[in-house]
Amino acid sequence: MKSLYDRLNDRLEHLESRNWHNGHHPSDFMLQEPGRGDDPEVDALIMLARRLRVAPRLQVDPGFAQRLERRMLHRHTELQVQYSGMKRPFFLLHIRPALGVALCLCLLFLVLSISVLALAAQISDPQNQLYALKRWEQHLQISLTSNAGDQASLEIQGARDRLNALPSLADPAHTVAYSQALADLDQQVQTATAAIKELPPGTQRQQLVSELSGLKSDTIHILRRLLPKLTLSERLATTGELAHLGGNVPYLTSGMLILPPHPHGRATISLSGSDLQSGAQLLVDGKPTGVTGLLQNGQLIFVVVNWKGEQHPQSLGLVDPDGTVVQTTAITIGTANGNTTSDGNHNGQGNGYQPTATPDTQQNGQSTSQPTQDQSSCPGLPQAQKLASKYQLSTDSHEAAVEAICALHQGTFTGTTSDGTTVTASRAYGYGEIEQLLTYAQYLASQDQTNPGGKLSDTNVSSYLAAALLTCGSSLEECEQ
Amino acid sequence: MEALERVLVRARQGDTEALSMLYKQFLHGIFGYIALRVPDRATAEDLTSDVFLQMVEGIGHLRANDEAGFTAWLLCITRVVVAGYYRQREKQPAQVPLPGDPWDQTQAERLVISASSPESDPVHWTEVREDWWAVVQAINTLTEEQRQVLVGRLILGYDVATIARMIGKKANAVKALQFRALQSLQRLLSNQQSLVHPHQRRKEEIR
Repeated sequence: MKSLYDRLNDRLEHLESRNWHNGHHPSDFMLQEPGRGDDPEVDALIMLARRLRVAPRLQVDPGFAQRLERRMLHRHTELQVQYSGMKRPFFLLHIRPALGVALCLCLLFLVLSISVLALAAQISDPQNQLYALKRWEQHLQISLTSNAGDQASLEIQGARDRLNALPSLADPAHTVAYSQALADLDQQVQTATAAIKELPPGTQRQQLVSELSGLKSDTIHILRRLLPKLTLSERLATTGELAHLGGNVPYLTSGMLILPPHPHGRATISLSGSDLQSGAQLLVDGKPTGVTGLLQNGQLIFVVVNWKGEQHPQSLGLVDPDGTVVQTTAITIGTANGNTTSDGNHNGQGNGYQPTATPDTQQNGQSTSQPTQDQSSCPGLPQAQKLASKYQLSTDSHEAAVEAICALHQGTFTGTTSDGTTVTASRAYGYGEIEQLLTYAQYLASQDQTNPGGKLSDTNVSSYLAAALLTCGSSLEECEQ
Repeated sequence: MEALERVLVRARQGDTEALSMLYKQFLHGIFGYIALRVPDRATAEDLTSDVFLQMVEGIGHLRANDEAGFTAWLLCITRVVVAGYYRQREKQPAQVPLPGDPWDQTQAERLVISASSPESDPVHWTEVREDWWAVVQAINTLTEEQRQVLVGRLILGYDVATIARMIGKKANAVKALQFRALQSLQRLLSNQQSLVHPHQRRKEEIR
């Protein structure tokens, strides 16, 4: 059985279909629908509905209907006149809501963009995602400025922002950010310099030159202060920037590595350049070795005692006592027996090893080159003198020690041992090998009971070298073992 | 007859004829709704005028594009206008109505009523006694949804499905609302019949 709701609805629809839609006056159906009697509750509600439907109080007065229609249409005409008087864009918004929505979205986007740009302007950390936006903003601002003076001023201002941000980035956690900020600073200084050059002489140019000079001075000061806090790679970049700014920093032109004749031997590295200082630490392939150098004849000389095998470094460098770091890849590699190879952009010096600057070492660390023998009579005389000095022998080229070393290097050595055996070496030894011979000769001298001081001297060096050659053999294999 | 959807489009674009068509189609329903909620005809006509003037002003912003949506929008305006009337009335000092018939009933209407209304019909009872105010009070006691269903079904002549779309409910819910509205109305009017005019009822019983 249907519910009361449905029964009531069915009755209402039945009445409507019979009367309302057949052209009858709505009030007619009341007369034609007798109470059914079998559903009194629904009957009562139907009766009420019919009474409401045709209640005369709900019927519209025709006069009122006409008056209201005229009034409504008059109002409509007034509104149309008002709309046509309004500005076109706003009128469009009224009749095209989509246009209004689009305009609102544009305004919202504009407000958001301005907010983000304002926020980005406060960012100083290059690792922040908004930093790129800030750079773009500054770049745009500069590119929109037609005056070179204004451009230079903006660049200087931007460079100062970078400079102020650098101290907060000078720690190992911000290596990338520091490098980025430093690169940006360099670029802005270069751009400002170029912009100032375009300016005609005048007050503005003088003022900007003064500002740029102040910026450079401050930058040099701050970067030097930051150096001790930086990693080696950051120091390298910072030293480069200091050089760009005109700071006094070391500069390397080339390096020379003399490999030992055997693994784990003694290697000698000389670095050439300008503004070098004694006490600088050697860097091999960007790694500190802990070896400090001595300045001799404008070259920094490093002696690495335990050189590992045939290691051929890609770069040589130094850490200056003031914290600056420089490197070079122009490396000439030579061996103690005279072979040389060149790496990097440095040209080789020929087929054989030709030492050209083996300075004398003095106590104050300064170097002088005082050859006492014609270079042609003893190739590599300075090296020979150095060896002599190392074993506390006379460095005079006319003395027996230097002459013996040179003779070994030239393959013309002849010596007589204490027991009268004459030893002649026709093989040309490298200075590394000669050093080994000297070391062994010194050992023999210390073991010789007939040698009063137990040391090598100019008088006995030739004899003990002969003994060393006799013991070690021409290939020095016995001594190496 | 032109579909109401097309009439709506033209009316939104400011077409006068379309506005007239909408007015003629909905005047009866809107006036009926208002007349069920206010005590006198003059007020009902004033408020009906307000509703249609607001319709003219706001139809350019209307988003609805079908009859149910438009009816819902128009009834929403009507409800707000009636609510505004009652708010305004609360602020004004109380007035005592003079005796008399605020509604001009024609003799024909009287005949229709007398011929079709038994004494048990509460609407008939209140109309006969020219106490429309009781009907209005009863209608105002209903919920807005119930009122909208009654107006939609009984005055505008919409089917259940159209009213369901209009008020955003399912057909069964509309049927239930329709039943409860009539049931509540009947109960309220019956109570008023016994509470408000017991002396008149006694007179009729004596007669």
